[in-house]
Amino acid sequence: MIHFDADSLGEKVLRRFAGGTSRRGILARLGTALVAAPLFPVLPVSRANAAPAKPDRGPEAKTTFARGAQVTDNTKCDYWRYCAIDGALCTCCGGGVHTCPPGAEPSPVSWVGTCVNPEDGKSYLIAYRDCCGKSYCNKCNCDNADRETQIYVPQLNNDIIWCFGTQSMEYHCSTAVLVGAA
Amino acid sequence: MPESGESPGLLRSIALPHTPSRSPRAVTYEQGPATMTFAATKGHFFASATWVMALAGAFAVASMAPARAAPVASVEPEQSDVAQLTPPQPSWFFINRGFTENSSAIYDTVTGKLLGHVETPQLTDLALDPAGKFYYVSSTLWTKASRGTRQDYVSVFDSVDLKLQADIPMPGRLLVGGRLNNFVISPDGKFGYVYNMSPASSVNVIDLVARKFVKTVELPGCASMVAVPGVGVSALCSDGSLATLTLSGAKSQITRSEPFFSATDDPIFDNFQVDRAKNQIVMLSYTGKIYTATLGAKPVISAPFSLQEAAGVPAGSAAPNQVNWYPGGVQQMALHRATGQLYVLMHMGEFWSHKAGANEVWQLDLASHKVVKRMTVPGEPRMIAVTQEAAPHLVFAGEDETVYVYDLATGKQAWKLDHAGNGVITVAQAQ
Amino acid sequence: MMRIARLSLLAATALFSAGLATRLSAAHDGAAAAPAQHVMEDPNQARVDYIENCGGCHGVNGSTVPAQLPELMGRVGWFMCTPDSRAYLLRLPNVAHSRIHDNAELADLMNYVVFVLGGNSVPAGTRPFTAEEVGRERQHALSNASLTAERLRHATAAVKQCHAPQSIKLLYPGYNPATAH
Repeated sequence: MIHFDADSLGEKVLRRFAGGTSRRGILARLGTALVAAPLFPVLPVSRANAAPAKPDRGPEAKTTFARGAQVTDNTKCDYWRYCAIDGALCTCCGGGVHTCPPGAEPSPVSWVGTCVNPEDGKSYLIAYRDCCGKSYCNKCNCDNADRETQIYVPQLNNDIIWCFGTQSMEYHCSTAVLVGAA
Repeated sequence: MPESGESPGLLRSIALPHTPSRSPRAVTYEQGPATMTFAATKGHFFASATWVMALAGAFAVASMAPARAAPVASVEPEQSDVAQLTPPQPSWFFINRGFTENSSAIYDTVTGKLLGHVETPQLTDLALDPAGKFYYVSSTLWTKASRGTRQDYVSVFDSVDLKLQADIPMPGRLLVGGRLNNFVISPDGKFGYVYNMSPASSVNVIDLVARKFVKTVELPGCASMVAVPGVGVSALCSDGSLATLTLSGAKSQITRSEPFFSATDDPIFDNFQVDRAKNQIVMLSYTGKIYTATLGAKPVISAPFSLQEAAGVPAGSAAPNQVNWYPGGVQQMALHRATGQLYVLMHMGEFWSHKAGANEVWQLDLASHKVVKRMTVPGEPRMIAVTQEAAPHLVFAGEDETVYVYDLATGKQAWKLDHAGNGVITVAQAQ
Repeated sequence: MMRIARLSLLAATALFSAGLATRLSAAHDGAAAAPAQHVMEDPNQARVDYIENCGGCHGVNGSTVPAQLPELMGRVGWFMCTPDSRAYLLRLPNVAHSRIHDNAELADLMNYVVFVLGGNSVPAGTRPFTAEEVGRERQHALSNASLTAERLRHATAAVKQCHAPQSIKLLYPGYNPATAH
């Protein structure tokens, strides 16, 4: 039997999100993708269960890259989303920050890093999806490394050619797709 | 010391006695094109060719004056021939020419000469036969360059004539640049191990004697391998341990050491160094911790010590805003086995700058845990290697493809090689 | 029942778009109901954790066809069929060795994977992962096994015991190792 108990949820939920107006703003900016996510079953918030600890994002805004990042020119290596990009920028190759150049194919598989947007100081999840199936573009080559590790933790490595599931694994260029707020 | 490894060759050709037999004008003609041809093959040495022609002209003028019997110029047609190598010498290095070139250049640190190239297409891995007979290249290509059917194979080249001996097909391999430890050869030269990620992780075992793919073994959560004699391979893992994949029995087995590092907070670089004689690996972490591990069915891992403290500065930290000397680059360190000296690329920066080019090379004495020398280096290198000679040469390269060779006995630059490469550097008697 | 369900749906939509969470059963999509489950403490964090730690390889929505990976969307729920297959999900090296050290947070993430990405593939009556269960199972990471063989073993059990479709044995329906890239 389902029931919706506003009372037991309301107070704690409101307290958690009091002052968190930026969250609403983020969702609006990110568009329908997040808001249209499937509704899912959740635990009733109960004082008996302590909420799981959230990761500490503080150090992310303190790296050399984060301090010098800009938000206006996505063809430059210091654009905020490129905090851990490795390769040619698709924005210089006829594509865009989440767009592959003509004839190239975005890889469904990639790694996801986090970068800090200097405008709001918050961390965002960036999927560094490679565009594949064409020869190397070799323009605007960048190699940044915030929170990037080695290949035995592949989901945090940016040297791997992330072209799994595409017609060809020939690497053309890299995008930086915003996939959520961290 | 000559700036470039190639100019001594040109000088020698001018020094050879070459006396004309006919009229001075014919002699000039005779000498001119011959030297021009030689110089023109060296593309960017056209400026030298002009100088050479001027010298040839001077020879012609000088020979006009005295009235002696004119010497005979040779008009014998030459035959085309092909240079040969010797098996790799300890003074050699191989430098991958980067993401856009399809070869690794072979240089001799003693002469500074370019000896030839091994074909290593984009993202392939070069490994040397321990006995020096072959060059192995773990490769991936598509039938139509950037499309078509994917093909993965190990190519075998003879080390003397660089002729292809075989292509050994295999299921697949990880496409990644700048790694020393994704294609490793057993010390007896009999097996090659190729790392694959599809994206599940596995190892392809190649029989290099029969030149056949043997089998694939899953290796979940681990990468960056070292061959362990009599056992199989060991590899670094995401839980902070060193795994050992036993291949010697009928059934493959994976065992893990106790975790000893943090794979996400202070990772150990993939490009650890291997000491065959001691059956050890030397590992370096992002914050500058040095670990050694003695290999075997049950590897023994040392407690780490700080590279920075070995140099008398505060230990490296993973905390933000801590400016310090940190290791960095793509091929971050080079071990001279016989003397136990580790050469590490170091730069000033903060944590997460682990790909930055170096301002200094630190020489760490592994036995005493002391940095015994710090060298300021040009070019912000991201790749470093050291020849395993008794009088070793340091080789390092920056993004602009200039390769520097230093004579470690004198600490001075021996060669500056332009347009040589900026990829992985391999030396003989190493991995 | 249905009227309350619809009211809850409306309220939930409104609350969710403001970033708040509410409690619903899997019946929200009208399919045969699993009873109401207490599943995630912090669903937003669970989703962020999934995207950050898993979404790169496994897809932001759990779908990566034709990459050679197990397709999670609408399928991973079948692996809750037996106690052994539940344990398998937690013992996968990428789960057991996750940099999420908090077991409650990791349980939230895995419940997101199973109940949200897995959707209707979760067998009726499935209990969600708990922090205690996660803490116990992650000590036994499958580091000395063929993950391919393990997956097949549990998929076969799910077909037999929970009437999962035969295609669950494949990485994704129609997967052909010979032609996949």
